[in-house]
Amino acid sequence: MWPCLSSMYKVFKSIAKVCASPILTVFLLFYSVGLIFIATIAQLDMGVELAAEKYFESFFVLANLGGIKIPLMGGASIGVLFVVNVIFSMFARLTFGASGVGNSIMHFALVLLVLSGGLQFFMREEGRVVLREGATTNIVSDTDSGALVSKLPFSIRLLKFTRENWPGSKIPKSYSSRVVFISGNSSTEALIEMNSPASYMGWSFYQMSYSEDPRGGNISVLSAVKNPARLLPWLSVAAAFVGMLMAFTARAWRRRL
Amino acid sequence: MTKKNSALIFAAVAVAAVVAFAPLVLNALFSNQLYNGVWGKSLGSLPVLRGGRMMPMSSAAADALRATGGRATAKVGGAKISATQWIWGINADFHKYANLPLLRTDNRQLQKLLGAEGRYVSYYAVEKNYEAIYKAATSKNQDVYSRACIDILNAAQVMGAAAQALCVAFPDESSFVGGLESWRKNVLVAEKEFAESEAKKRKIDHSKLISASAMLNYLRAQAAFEADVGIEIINTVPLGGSFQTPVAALLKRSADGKSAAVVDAYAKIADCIVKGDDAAIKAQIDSLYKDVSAAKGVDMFKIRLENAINIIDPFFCGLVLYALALLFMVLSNFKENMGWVGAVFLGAAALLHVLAICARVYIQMRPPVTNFYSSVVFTGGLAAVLAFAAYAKKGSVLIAGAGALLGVLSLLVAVNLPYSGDTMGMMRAVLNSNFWLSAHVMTIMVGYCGLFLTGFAASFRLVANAFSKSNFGFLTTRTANVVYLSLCACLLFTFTGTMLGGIWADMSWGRFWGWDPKENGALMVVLWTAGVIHCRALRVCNDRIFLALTALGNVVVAWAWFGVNLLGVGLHSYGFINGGWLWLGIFIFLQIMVAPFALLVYKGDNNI
Repeated sequence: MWPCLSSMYKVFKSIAKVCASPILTVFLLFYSVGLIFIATIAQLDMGVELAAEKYFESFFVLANLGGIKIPLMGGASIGVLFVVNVIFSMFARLTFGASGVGNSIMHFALVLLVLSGGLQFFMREEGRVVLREGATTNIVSDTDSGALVSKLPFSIRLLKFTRENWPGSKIPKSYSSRVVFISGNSSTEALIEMNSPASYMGWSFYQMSYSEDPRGGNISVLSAVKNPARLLPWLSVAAAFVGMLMAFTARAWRRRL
Repeated sequence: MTKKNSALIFAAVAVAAVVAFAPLVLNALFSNQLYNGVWGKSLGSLPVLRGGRMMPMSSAAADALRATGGRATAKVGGAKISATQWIWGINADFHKYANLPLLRTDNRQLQKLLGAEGRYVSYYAVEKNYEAIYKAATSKNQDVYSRACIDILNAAQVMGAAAQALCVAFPDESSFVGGLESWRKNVLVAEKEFAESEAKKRKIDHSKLISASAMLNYLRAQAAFEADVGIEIINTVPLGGSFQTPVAALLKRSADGKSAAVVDAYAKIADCIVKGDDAAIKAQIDSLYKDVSAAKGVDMFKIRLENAINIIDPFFCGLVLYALALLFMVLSNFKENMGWVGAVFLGAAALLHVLAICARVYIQMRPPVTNFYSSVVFTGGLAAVLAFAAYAKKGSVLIAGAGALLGVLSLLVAVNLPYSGDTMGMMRAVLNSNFWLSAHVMTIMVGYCGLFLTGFAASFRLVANAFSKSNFGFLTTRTANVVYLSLCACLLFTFTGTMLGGIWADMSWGRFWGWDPKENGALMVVLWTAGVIHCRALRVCNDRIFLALTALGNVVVAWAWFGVNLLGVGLHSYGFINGGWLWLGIFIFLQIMVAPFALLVYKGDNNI
């Protein structure tokens, strides 16, 4: 029994050593720079969304480099390796004191950031709602294809769409839609503006664009998002910021002394 | 400090002052004050509304001129004239200017078609070949030539619109004032005829309406043309709480006395320009000024300040001073007291640069970074201030030289950016938020600025290693220590700035991250910087390789900042930069050439 455990411990130790390897850290960081560059170039042909799906939301990707196809690790693999690498490295090189604690906070916050990205990939629903002035709907359709994404548990009516230009110019200053959310007998009025969305029953509505109805009046295009994990990235960014500030100021301070 | 050094610094201060004040003196001595006066009542500092912003005539004219000819000045008969002179000229005497080669095209085929000798063609040449150009511009397979045709048509349209922005030239009228008088007279005649026929219940005598209707048709055609112009038109006449073009003002029946007075004054000045009667213009300016400056939304101090900046051109003076600073910083490697001279130039340039940025912020009431142009200007200024502080406090020639270089580069880029609209233009609806704009963009820009400074310092050390015989390892390690700390600070700024952008996007569009090319670029910078920092923190490589990686970081930053804009896709790209690829390529090549210096090893160096 004991020898078995000790050999298992040995195996774990050597795995941990690989997982916490500095070479892996540096490789992952520089590799991602290269992958993002290739993906950005690919976006020229494929469009932003499709290329992001192909390169970042996959474990492996067959990249096309000027006609030569090369298999590469995708963003999902990098995310997994990153999480493993950071967790093992942190425990392998755990230190205390302002700099060490800051370091740990920063790195675990980054792990949380990457995990929340993965979580949102599964939990987030997004689409658009197209409304004529006076019309009511509860249909959320796909932004690109127009296919049905989801039916809202309530309906939404566009009362009025307003567009304002800067005086004497063709530059848009602001768009806004005045809407009513209707659920059963209750109705709630809200104003959706650029940079200022409205939320109702877990869904958020953002002013996206507009068009003119050939039959007169305006058509407002809203983007509808349901995202239960929305606050996770905000929290992890704040924590990473605090951690970085602690670690770097402590380091700079030590150097002065 | 020795007597000799004090004298040297005194001389440097004097030279810096001469450079800084040279444009003022040159303007006072050689420029036509009627058009280009710096602070007084001149034809260039009249307030106009363009693109939703009140600006002096000189700014609006320069924008229109750059949209037609690529430059902010025009060449007329071998002499350079200012944009203000150009716009008054084309309004007063369009025929003369339409014959001059003032519209620019870089396309050889189009130049040949229009019979041009160089890059510049005349308005009339475009008009004469309109059908051929229009056919090519609207052809199905769009190529370089059809693109050039579209551009030249747009340029001609902008010139046409600018030529009626100040006064209306009715056909078959001998003067502008005469045109206005006959318009008003004909309208009165027509109105009287309408009223009389109504009162006496008789048929309308159409012969009394002909003149008015002909003029009305002309005005309506011009108004339709103005509505159709692709870029922002210039509104000169205060009317109903805003500003309008003279054509629109004449078409408004309920125009108040003030707007009519302004239309009259512009017409009178145009007539005086045709006659060459400068004294009469001066007499007109005073009353015109009184009427326009009392209009709603006009802040004459801002207008005059912007006009003064247009004329003084502080960024050009700054460029000269930065170049001097860089020269003396390099010289200080051979003679130490040259460093102080360089620092004086650097300080003067930074002061001028910061003052100009402050003035732009005050005029615009926006954070200093609102578009590509201002991001370049802001970063250069910040780098210069940081570098000056580093020299004053620590005597660091390395950072001072890097700061001066960044100052030169930023102003070179800013001065040479191709025209893409008013650099202080109003923000589109999506970006119309001062708080987020400053929090997100400025934090990133501080980070990029720091990275460039650090990258240049690292490059400088690596190249200098080839020339220093001793202290090789010691100097490299010392530089690496500074570079490491600086990279950490830069990572803090770029990471925070990028993520603030994510939070802004989440709040405005409901998505934290969209893999937009500009976002990709920023993320590449963050990851590269983190990678370089980890190389040293985890002891993956030696200090020379570490410095080389830092130097290569400049390539990544240049890509994120400039390259992505060149791609011209996505939400963030604020305009295509023609010809920018060449310069970006040169920069990247030079920066990559620095890296092999990391392979130099000095005998007895224990830092391998």
